[in-house]
Parts: sequence; structure tokens; C-alpha cells
Amino acid sequence: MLRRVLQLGLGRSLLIRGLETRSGNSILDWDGKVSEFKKKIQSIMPGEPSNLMCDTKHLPPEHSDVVIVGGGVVGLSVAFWLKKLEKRQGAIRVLVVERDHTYSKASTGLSVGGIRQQFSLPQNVQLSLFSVDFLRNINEYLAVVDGPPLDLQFNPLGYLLLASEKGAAVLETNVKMQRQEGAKISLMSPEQLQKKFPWINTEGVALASYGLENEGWFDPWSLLQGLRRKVQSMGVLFCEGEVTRFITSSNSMRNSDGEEVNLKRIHEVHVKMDNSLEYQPVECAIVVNAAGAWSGQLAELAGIGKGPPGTLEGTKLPVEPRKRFVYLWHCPQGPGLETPLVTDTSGVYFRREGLSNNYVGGRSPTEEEEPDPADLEVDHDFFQNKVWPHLAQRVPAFEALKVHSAWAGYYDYNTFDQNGVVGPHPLVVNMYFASGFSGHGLQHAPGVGRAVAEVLLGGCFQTIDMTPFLFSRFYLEEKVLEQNII
Amino acid sequence: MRESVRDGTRWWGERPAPSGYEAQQDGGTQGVQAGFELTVILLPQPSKCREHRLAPPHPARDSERRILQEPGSWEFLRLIPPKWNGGKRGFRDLSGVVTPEGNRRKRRTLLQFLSDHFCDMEFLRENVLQKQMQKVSLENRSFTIIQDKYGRDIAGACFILQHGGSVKFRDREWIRSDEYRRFSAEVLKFQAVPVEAIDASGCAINYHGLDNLLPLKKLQCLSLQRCPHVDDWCLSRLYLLADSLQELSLAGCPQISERGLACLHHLSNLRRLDISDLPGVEYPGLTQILVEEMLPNCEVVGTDWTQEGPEEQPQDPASPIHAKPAARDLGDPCGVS
Repeated sequence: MLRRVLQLGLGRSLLIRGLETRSGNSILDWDGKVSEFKKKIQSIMPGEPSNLMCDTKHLPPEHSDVVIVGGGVVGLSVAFWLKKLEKRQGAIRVLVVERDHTYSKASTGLSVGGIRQQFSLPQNVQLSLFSVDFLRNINEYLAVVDGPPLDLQFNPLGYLLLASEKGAAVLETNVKMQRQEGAKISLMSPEQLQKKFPWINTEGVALASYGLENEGWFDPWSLLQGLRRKVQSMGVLFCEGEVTRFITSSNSMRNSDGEEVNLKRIHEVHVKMDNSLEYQPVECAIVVNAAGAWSGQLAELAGIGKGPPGTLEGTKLPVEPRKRFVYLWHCPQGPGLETPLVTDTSGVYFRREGLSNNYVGGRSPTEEEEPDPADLEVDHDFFQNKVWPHLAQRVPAFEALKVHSAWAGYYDYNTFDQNGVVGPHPLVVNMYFASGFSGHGLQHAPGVGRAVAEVLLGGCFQTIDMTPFLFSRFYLEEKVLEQNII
Repeated sequence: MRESVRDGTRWWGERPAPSGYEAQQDGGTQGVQAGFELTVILLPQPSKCREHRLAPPHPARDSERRILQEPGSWEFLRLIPPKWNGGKRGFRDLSGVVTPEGNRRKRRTLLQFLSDHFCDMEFLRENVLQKQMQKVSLENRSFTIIQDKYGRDIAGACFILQHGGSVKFRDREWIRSDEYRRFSAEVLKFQAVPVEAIDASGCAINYHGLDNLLPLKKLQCLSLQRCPHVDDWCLSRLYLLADSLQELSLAGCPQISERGLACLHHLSNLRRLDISDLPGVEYPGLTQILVEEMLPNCEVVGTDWTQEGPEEQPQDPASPIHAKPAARDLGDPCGVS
């Protein structure tokens, strides 16, 4: 009987209390109580300015194990994999610092959103395959209790790469390697191409490679939102601010050749709040540089590249912002539903957008024509002079088209070899890089995030061996060249 | 932790109204965290209430008592409704096509509240979610042993039969499994006969499950009607059947959109394509026209513009699609009955 009474009594009281808190009697009134409490303190201690209860909600925490600079897809993916791979839930405190929460200039939202396996480096193919697997099972990876399922809007239509006679041999060896890695790529002769896609003019095309599976394009924004939602539910902290300063200490050491080497370690990151002079020093153990196009500047802040040229200390992170234009045009007679993402021999690319004969495309300018990356203004003459002629030559239907809109975005362009930088810096020992992907950061983000998290937690790459992408290649001048930059 | 949570799940799912105290004392849930135990205590025991008759019925408290005694009123404290182990909710929840009823919403908000306040509850719910997803992927494993022993056609046929679909070998009758998904072993004798047609309507096949179907080189007719897990990614793999496939039905698949339909252009031998009733396609009419343009040799069955009812639907007398009862073991995932 006692048990019964206890059961009922406990049960009811707990239930009722629970429902009361839910209706917000004690919790929702918190702010009001705080101000009351402040007034009381002021009346007790009149002379003192009451900074005891100063509101610091908008500031980042004072300590964090890992600070990820850059809240784009790459940064969030690093955060996701750190939380996913940690041994005990909540073991690592992760803070993501993002300058602009509207992502107005971030490369993530402005990209065309393509994913392909047609790269010339095996590591890039592996990264792509890993990412495609991630995207396919995105509702398992990024499932949040009570959250609606994500719709990535993936268009599995493949990439069609065209090669002239000069590039045919390279294309063939690349496809061979891609097939070995497990990608489903088919080679096509101009005749087959003409039969498959009658709207293409095969003049000047010697060989084409066409991705049959796992290639296409998706909505980058929904991937970003999904990652953000998941990462937040895993307990990662977010902060809107800019990293302005690193507090470092340095140790002088001698290497085996007897040369003196300065090893640096970052202790604090100063995060400056938006539109104010206020900043918060965040003590941290590890900094991840995922600042995309601005990661070169961030590395300079940490003192990377500020030594005599030719030494490891003087080796800069060769990542700089490059402006790329994307145009959206309408062409009533344009290619139909089956249109893949076509990349011409001239470097012009386009894809279908929606069902009403709209197309999105652009072209990477040559070194000489490189536009000024200070702002995101669109150069419409570039389309008229450099893009349209090639488009119309490849697809005759594009003779008659109307540009509806255009935008510009940044590539985190690696001037050294157009490939990503992943892993720790050899001298600033607790700065890890995840940047410099020169336009394929979005599609490689899930794989890169995992690689960085593995290095951070375990000390070595496990899933995909990314040792060729380490920072030291800049000093050793070993270029890891990627030919297929679109 | 995982062990104990699994114990808890089974316990909640199978025993309808256990007494909280006993369950704690018999050691079955010793590893379960504090928040979980709390909810265990909260559960009253309706049958015992009636036996003991603790207090005389009080008029004012009568209604309250009745609510307390009614098992239904306490149901929202369960982690999962008791019918859950049928696996029906599993993919209903994932495909997200079930409209929430009022009762369901109430339970969900309470669960939300609990998981906001008790981290154990949160972990538990995350685990349940993971379990639901694992179940689907477990069901879609490849039949590698059968494939090695009897060949690809038999493996594909067994896979479909085990999912509750039906299979037609060349020049044979349709074979289907019964409601417990059993089927006669004579399927294994058809080793030299290729599979000609598959009706997988309503089956929980996903991307990985297609591995069993794609090696069927003589497959001419494939019906994936109302498959809750067939999505655009699956359609992008159908190009492997391009040489033989002549009829494809995708009617009623909740996850298919026009983006996936676009990659059916690989299927050049297709004679008939059913894309009616796809809730994921935003502009069904326009999509149908574009698909017709893309596949000029193919008859595309899509939205019924004339509104003449189901007479327009393709009725193949040999196909068992319409002969079957609607309430299959898998249920009706997209709410179309």
C-alpha cells in the first residue's frame, strides 16, 4: 500500500511540476528576475558599478578545446566529425567562429553545387566518393530527433567532360584511374556523344568522359543548414565574430642538422565581436583554419610566412580569394531534361537549373584576366566576350539566349597547385588547415572534415590517406597538381 | 550503455503494462540511467489498481481516477507506442508522409519536453531513431551466399520474395510469398531460367537493396510502386538495366522527384513508364511532358488530366498488383489505399 501511495503521489506531483515548468512559470521569467536582482544589488552597494551580472550571452566562452575558424561547410564538417568521432559524448568542447551568419560572401552558398569523381588525383576521387556516400545517407548522418528530413535536391545527372585531341590521352589515363578507385565513368567517342546528346556540336572534341553514377549537383544551402542543425544538437558552440589575433608562445629548438627552429603554439584566440570593439580571448588547445578564401590572411595572423624567404618559417599559405562569375540564362530551345553538367574543352561549363529551360554556367578566367577580388561585382562583359562564344559554338541552341541574373563568389584558390591543404602546420603546431580547395571544397567537405578530425584525435589519417596534401609540400616544393579545375 | 538501452526498448515495446517497482527490482533495467527510471516509476498499473481498491471512489476525484486508470491516458509516457515492433512506424516516420493526428502531436510534444530536460531521454530517443534506420539497412543486405550458390537470378528473386513482393521467371507463373513472407523452396530450382518481371510494390527496398536487382540482365518489367525508400539515388542506378528493361512503374513513391526522373534517359529500351501520383514532383504535368520528350519511344503514364478515375491506370491481367490485398505486412506507406 505504501508503495502504491508513493507511486501515485510521486507520479502526480512530478508530473504536475513538470507541466508547470513547461508552461514557463519559473524559467521563462528568468530575465525579469535577473533585473530585479540587479536592482537589489545596486541598492545594497550604491557606489559600485554593477558589472557583476553583466550580460555575456553574446560572447564566446572563455575556454574551448577546439576553435574552428570559419563556419562554412568545411568548418562545420570538421566540427561534425570531431563530435562524431570523440570517444565519450561531450568530451571535446568545440567552438565555431563565423564572421557572417548570413553567409553573404561565403563560398558555400554561392557555389554551383556540383559533385564529381572526375579528378586527376586519386585522393580527390576518394574524397569525392566518400562525400557522395555521405550525401546519399545524409538523413542518417545528420538526423536530428524531431527534425524534418533534409532534402538535398540532388540531381544525379553526371558530369560530361569534353577533351580536345591534345587532352584526350590525359583524359583517358584519368578515367582509368577513376575507375580503379571505384567511380562509374564511361568514355564516349564523338559519334556516341552525338547520338546520346544530339544538341551538342562535337566539332573539336576527340573524347568525352561521362559520369554515370554519383555525379551531379545539389543544393549547398540545405547541406549547410543540415550540418548546422546537427552540429548544434551535438553541442558545438557557435559565435558570430572575427578572429583578430593569436596569442602564441615560441620555443627555440635545434633540429638534427643543427639549425635553429622556432616552434610556436597558440594559446589564445581573440574573437572580436561584430560592429564593436569588444573582444573575447578564448583559451584553446587547437585551432582549425577553415576560413576558406581568407585562410591565407588567417595563417599570416598566426605568424605563418613571416620569416626569411626560402625557410620553412618563411613559407606562406598560398591561398588567396579569386573571384568567379556564375551566370543564369534562359534559352527556350536549349537542351532538355537529360542535360548533364557539361564542361567544354575551353573550360566553359553549364548545367540545367530547374525545369523551365534555365541554365547556370560560367568559366574560370585565365591568370591574366583574373578579376579584382576586392568586391563581388559581376563583370557582364566577361560573359559576352569569354563565355558566350564558346557556349554557342558547343551548343548551337545557345546562339539565342538571355542572361537573367549573375552572381560572383570566391574560390579559396591555392596558387601553388590548386589542391587543398589538410593537416597540421609543421611549426605552429596546434594550427590545423582545411582550406585551399580551389573550388571543390563544397563537394569534398564531408571527407575533409573526417580527415582533419582523424588527424586531430588520432594523429594520423585513417579513412583516406591525405599525406600528399600536408602543408610541408609548399616548403619542399612538391606540387600535387590537379588538372581538372572547373 | 547500449545494452541497457536495448533492454529498455524491448521492455517497453513488448510488455503492455508492467509495474515499475518490480521491473527495477528484478534487475532487468539496472543499467538504465536516472531519467529513464523516473519514467518507470511514473507508470501506474491499471490492472492492480482495480484489484486492490485502495480508497472508496470519491465523486470529485472519480474522473481523475478514471483517467489514471485508463491505460490510454498514460500511453504518452511510453517511449514508443506498443504497436511499434511491427516495423510499420519505422519507415513511416522516415518517409515523413503520415499526417500527424492530434493524439500523436500531444505525445510528440511531451517527448520533446522530456528530451529537452533529461539528457538520458535524449540519448534514448536518438538510439531509437538509429535503430529504425538500421532496421531498413539490415533488411537490404545483399544475398551473397545465395548468389554464390544459385546465381544472381535466384538471389534477386529470393530478395524480392522475402520483402513481400512477387517475381515472374520466364514462361512461368508469378510467384509470391505469403503474408509471413515465406515462399516455397521450388524457387531455387529455376536456376537456368532468368527473371523476367518483378513486382516490388510496397517493399522497403533502398539504394543498397537494389544491388540484388541490378545484375538481373533479362529483367523486362520492374514495378517499384509505393516503395517508401526508393529515391532519386536509386533511379540513378537503374542505367545498369538499360539493355533489357521495357516497363517501369514508379507510381506512388514518396521520395522520387523530377531530378531522379531526369536520369531515366539511360533506359533507351523503355516502352512504358508509370510516373503517376508522385508527391515529390512539384510540377507533374510539366515533368511528364519533359520526360516524354526525353524518352520519345516510351509511353509515359502520368497525371490523369481527364479525371476519369482509375480506369486510365494500366491494368495488366498477368500482373498481380491489383489482385493482392492492400493491407500487406508492410502496410501502406504512402497513405494511398
